[in-house]
Amino acid sequence: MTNRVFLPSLKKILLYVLLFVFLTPFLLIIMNSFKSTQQFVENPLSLPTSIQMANYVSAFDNMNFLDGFLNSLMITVGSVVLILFFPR
Amino acid sequence: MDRKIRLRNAGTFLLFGGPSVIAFLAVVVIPFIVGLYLTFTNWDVRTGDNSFIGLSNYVAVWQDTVFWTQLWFTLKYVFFTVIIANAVAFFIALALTGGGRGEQWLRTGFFTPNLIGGIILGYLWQTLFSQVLPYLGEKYGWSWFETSWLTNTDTAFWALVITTSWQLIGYLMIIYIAGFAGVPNDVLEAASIDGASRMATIRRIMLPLTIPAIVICVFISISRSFLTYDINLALTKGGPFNSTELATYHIVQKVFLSNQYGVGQAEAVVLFAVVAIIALTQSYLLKRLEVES
Repeated sequence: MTNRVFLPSLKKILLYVLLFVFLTPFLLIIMNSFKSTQQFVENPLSLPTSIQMANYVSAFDNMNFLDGFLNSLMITVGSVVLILFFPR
Repeated sequence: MDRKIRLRNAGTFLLFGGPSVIAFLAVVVIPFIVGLYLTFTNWDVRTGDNSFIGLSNYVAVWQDTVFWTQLWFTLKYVFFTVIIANAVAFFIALALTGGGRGEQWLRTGFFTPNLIGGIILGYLWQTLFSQVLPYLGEKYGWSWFETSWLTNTDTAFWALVITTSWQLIGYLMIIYIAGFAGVPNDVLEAASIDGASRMATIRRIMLPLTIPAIVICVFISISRSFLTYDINLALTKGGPFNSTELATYHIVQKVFLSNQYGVGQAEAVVLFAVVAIIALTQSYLLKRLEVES
């Protein structure tokens, strides 16, 4: 009886561990996006000491985020409309 | 009378199927035929040359030894990617079809890598392989990770395989889950009444009944990994020393960097033939294993 209760939870734990490994790259990137380059090179795994938005600000400026986003939005809306009206 | 009905049927077909047929012709069939024709010419965008030169493009492909080494490299890469991605996706899907709590969250989590384009995935893993893993290796003395995996041909190969599998697994998992959902409950019940163990149920019932899903998954993973370009570009850029160029990468280099349009196009046709032969053979062989429930 204990076995039956224990087994599924072990499976669950394994799955969540696997999911964590699976998503680690994302976590690392999000974590490091708040750090300065120097902090990143020193220790890519450390938690950010203070939350800096500098990376986001410069990314927003450098890549013309709004223009790019509007282009993507238009393409997405256009293709979704076409797919909806001309299904296979 | 008969003719009238047939005419009306054709009209109905044109109304509903026409747009798709035209779209399919315009973006798949016609470009393919034109592309095939271009391999027999010395077509060049810059000079406007477009005269018939027979098979000499294919002779050039035959003599392009780099292409054949890259094709062999691609074959190895596809082989390992397909096996790893399908095996992992199969078992994750199996673990996620019990109907337990939190299953939806887990499925979403495993699917996440598929929502991001290959370029960003490639850069993400490039940071991981060239910064994070060497850092770990140095800190804990793991000799495996001390140098970046992307600086050595063998390890860069595995980096490519891991990244592509990571992207494919979520997608294949969804198809496998759909396949498992199609396994009739009464068969599973009968198996459990007959005292079949979990392993026996998987091997004797789940596996044979999900062959259609397996065929689709293997087909998709074969064609997708043969045509990998973005991950290759973002992760290794073909380096070190062009040793990790996949076939598509090589073709793009040939066409747009060395401006050998005809030869590049002919190589693309050769690649198409290889992919078609392998994908069709596997689906033919696997389909023979299909059973009725």
